[in-house]
Amino acid sequence: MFTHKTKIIVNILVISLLLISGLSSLAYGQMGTGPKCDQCGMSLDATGVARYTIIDSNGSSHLACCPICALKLQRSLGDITISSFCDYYGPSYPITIISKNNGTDVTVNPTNALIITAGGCTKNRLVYNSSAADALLALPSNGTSKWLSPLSNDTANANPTILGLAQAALINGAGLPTPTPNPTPSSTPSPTPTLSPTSTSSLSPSISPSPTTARSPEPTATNGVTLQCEACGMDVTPESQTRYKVTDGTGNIHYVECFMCAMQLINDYETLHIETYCDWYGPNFPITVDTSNHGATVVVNPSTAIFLRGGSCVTARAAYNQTAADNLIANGFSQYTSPEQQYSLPSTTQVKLVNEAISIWYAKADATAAPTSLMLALALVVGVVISVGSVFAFKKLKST
Amino acid sequence: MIVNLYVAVDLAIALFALAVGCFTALRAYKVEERIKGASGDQRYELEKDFYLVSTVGWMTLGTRILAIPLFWITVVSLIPAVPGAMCEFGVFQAGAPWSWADLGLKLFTMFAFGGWLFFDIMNRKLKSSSMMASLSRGFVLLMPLLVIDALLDISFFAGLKPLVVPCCMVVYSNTVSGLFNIGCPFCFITYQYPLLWGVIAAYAVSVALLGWSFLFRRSSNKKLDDQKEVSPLLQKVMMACLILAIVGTVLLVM
Repeated sequence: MFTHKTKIIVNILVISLLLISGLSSLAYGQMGTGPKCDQCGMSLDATGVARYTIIDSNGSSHLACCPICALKLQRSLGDITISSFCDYYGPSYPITIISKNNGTDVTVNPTNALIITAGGCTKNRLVYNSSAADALLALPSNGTSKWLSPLSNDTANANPTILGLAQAALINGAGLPTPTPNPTPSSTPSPTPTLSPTSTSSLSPSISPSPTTARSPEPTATNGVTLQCEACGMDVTPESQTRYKVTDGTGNIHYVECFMCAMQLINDYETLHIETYCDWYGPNFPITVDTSNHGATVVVNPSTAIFLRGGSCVTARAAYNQTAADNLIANGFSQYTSPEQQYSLPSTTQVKLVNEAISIWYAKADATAAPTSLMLALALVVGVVISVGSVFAFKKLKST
Repeated sequence: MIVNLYVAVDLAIALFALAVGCFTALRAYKVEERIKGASGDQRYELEKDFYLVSTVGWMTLGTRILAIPLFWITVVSLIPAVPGAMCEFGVFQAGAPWSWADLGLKLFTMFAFGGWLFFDIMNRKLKSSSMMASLSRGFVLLMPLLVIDALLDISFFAGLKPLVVPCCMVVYSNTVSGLFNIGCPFCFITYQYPLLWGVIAAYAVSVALLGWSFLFRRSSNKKLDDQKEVSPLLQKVMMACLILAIVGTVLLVM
């Protein structure tokens, strides 16, 4: 049927297709199907793999690209043991971290070991003591070291944060806010609550907001396991589980990954209780929402609480008052904002009091309610028309 | 650019289709030009050339059609890489405007390329291969569509960045409830009623087969011999349409 020439050309084309498929797979492989950080997915070379030995409570080994990712693995793995060495002095200066209960029970050897967070996974460092930290950050090193993989040997940003290992383990294990701010793009000092209301806004509280008794985050009920948001299906990290406490009238707990998703549930439950805190001021400024009758009745505390709707879960913010809202609009987030939400807010962000936002956007018929029977009927009609048409055409063809 | 295995394969198929399609279109053009005044021997040579066009055309257009479900799978795989995206809508937002143009064109090319392949199958069954000239011309005419389809794939995936995008929950909550009150159609199909994938595919292929059969019958009406050859084939196609329509309806009521 085919000529010799045709067969040759077809063979060439088939081989080309196979080669292209193979090359694309190889290219993909080059891009990183090798070892990767179990926390952030960054590719690791042999030096990077050897840098941290991480063992969980089951004896399984894990990989991390930097000390912060290694500590964050507690959120998914629970108790872990991290063995590494000083990034400045080298392997002759080992450092061991045994972290349990999401960083609340930490044993560090040596006790003076420090973590430097300098602007990203390729810049975070683990050092034996403060002398090593100073030497590593000074010229000519500028954060680089001969002991590190080229993939993780970037120079440090200015003004890096230096933490004790126990503190870093707690912050990254339980997802607590860092004590010093790292919001971008602003490098201004950490935001402090306003002690007097802003004079221009009618939404400001008539009395100065006073911090409630400082509350420490409660341990997550699920012991570090990532769950699925009931509203949108995205991941609810242990940090989000402590940040957003949502319960219905029967006492059932619902897991959400942002304030918008929490309010999205209002229409689904007769009674809902939402607890969170200000994304600007932090855990000492709690915000609670109580709804009944599927959002027909709403009580918000404080009444000045504002919802900033940036358009997606990562740009949804809860603000204690107008000042906090203004700062969030300007800066996007603070150190108290969830790590997964640390993005700037778009210019189209909508700002409303929480009770207004609920009555306008969330206390109404669910837009994704079950389709009307009309749609089902129309689809059935389409199917019947196609079937009838096929039968009709078949009979007509048979008769010719 | 966000790259994973699916994106790499998608782009590879797009580049392959571009390269091979250009080669095939040139051959098809030559066949179509020379067949008009061809004698018996010349026609035989042209038929052999056309077999090459047909075979390579199948590879080109077939891979483009197979790339359509792969396109969708690739978009789903990119959801975690786009901040704020919880369904395909977010990925399309991040890749706009190329993403929407690509999606729209794929809905059209499915029928255009599939039609050419359908006509080619039927032509192979005909002893006279009377549709050689039409198919060659058809492939040349489809070439711009192929080029645009491949270029849109490359533009979309190569230009995709992990932007923070609006969520469909926000976008569709602002719209007036439509006739069907389903909100985001992507979430509806992907998460709420995944069986609708099967319904849409079954109905779409069934309608396409009906349409192609109708067009083919009209184009083959000029020759009585061809009609006699074609009728049994088209009966089988109608049976396939009926079966697909029944399958789609069953999935709908499940």
